[in-house]
Amino acid sequence: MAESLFAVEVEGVGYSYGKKRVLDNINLKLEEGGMFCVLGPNGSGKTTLFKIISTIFALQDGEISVGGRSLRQFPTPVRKKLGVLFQNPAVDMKLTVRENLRHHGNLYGLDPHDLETRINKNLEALGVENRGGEMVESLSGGLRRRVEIAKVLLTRPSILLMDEPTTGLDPAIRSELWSIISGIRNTRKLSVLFTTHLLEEAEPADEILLLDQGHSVASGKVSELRSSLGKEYVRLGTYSPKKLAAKIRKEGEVEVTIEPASVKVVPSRGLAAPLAVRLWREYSQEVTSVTLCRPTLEDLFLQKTGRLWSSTPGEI
Amino acid sequence: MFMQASYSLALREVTRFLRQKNRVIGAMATPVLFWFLLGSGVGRSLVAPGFRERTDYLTYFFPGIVLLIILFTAIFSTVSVIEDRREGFLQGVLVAPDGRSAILFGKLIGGTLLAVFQAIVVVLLAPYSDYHPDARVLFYLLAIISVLAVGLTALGFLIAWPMDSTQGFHALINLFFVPLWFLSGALFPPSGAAGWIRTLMHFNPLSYGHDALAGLLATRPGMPLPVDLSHDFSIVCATTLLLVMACAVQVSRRS
Repeated sequence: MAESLFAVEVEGVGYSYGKKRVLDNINLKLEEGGMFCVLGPNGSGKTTLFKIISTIFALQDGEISVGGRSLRQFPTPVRKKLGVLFQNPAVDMKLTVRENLRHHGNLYGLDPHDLETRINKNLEALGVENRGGEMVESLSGGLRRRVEIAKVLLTRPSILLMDEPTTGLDPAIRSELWSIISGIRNTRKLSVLFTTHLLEEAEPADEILLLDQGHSVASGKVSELRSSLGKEYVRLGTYSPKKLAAKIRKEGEVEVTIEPASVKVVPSRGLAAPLAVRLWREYSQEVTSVTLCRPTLEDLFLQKTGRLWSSTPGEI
Repeated sequence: MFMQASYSLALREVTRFLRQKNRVIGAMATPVLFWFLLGSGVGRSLVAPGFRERTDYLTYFFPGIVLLIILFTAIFSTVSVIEDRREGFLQGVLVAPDGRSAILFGKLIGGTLLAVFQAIVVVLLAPYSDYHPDARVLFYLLAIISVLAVGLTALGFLIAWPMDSTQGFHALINLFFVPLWFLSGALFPPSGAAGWIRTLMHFNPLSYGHDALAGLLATRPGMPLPVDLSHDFSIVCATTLLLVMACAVQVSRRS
């Protein structure tokens, strides 16, 4: 079999819970050493896709290959290649940090002597070498995440799968987590596939797949997707967006979109910067802020679905 | 890899059990207290059919209590399947190369070890019930207790695997397992029971486990083993095998 250039290839994957179709014809390709983000609001099917790739759910429709091997035909060798980081930490709270890691190594059949060496190295690499004897339940959320990363990397996977890895973490720890993952990518040549509903987390990815209600609405490199959306625009913060939008529309030569607490104004001709200055002068009484923006992934979602990202249902 | 993974999961069960002191005390003390109070309370009030003398209920009830300890420990150790799923630990096991079979055998081994250990500790109280098992009887007791523990852990696993609520699990246990134990001969002998109860007891595999335990405990040093021991043992083994196979089928199914 020829070596695949792709760490993960997903082709035409679909999934139904009973009669309810939750994923339909999903395609993605994660290049070796690359970082791929599956982005979507809550309920878009990200976690279902993640569970299929991580082999928790059976593959119903389509094909998935990992490192060139079919997930359907060779689930066990595929599992050996994967390091899986779940939304909720998959650690035992009643065991110590070191016991959790040891247990994980045993699950993957690592040699006991080699396992202890790897545990020491990973705890040190993740900065938790002094916490080895502590119960996981006594650690903070951020430290638990570090322990889990140390655990997942014990088996030296070539692909790291992460499902909403920063859920429940505060912004400072989120940023710390991403810098840890970035460091690991550089040192271990890992391919990373992750899901998120946070737009800003998708930005550093090499490629993204935007999901909505189980369908792929866009995919490709973030920079290309963004430039496909066109020009820079102006966002005016206001307490009465409808009123302000109506006034600006009357001027013509602009495209106006009403947002919950702002108005988005795209110039039909010319640049956005002079438009921003003019709007600020003309509507200074009604405008609370003026922002010069580049098209974002949020704009991409709006363009593809006709809905605002912030209007998508949240988790209950 | 599979054996290493199963061993690790079994070790985890035992470690978690020993770290939860209230669980250790509850699992051991409740049945013993139950035996002591009910056994002493009923005392010699009952005459077993076929006997002229009144039976000491502390003695009659003892094998039933050993059975109850195995039942409780084996089944409650499988509640952790639901907790593991809810807390997220299980998913980490399911993505491991042999995760599905390892979780089954890890739980079976772990649950069995805990149940056997506790049952044997209680069996050591046998002289207080006028039972005097020798080494030979203890060996057979260990064998039947182990097979019963595997079977009952498998039964608990079978029920716990598709469930996501520990409350639901406990409700089902009360509805299903307590009557199963009642109808094993643990509380009353089949000989004096109503016809339909006797029929239910006849088809209850746990009755044969109880019969084997009672027969072995009643075997005094130097006496031959009970004649129906191999019959009881065969039924318990066959039922256990079926339950383990059912668990294996269930655990191999993915959503």
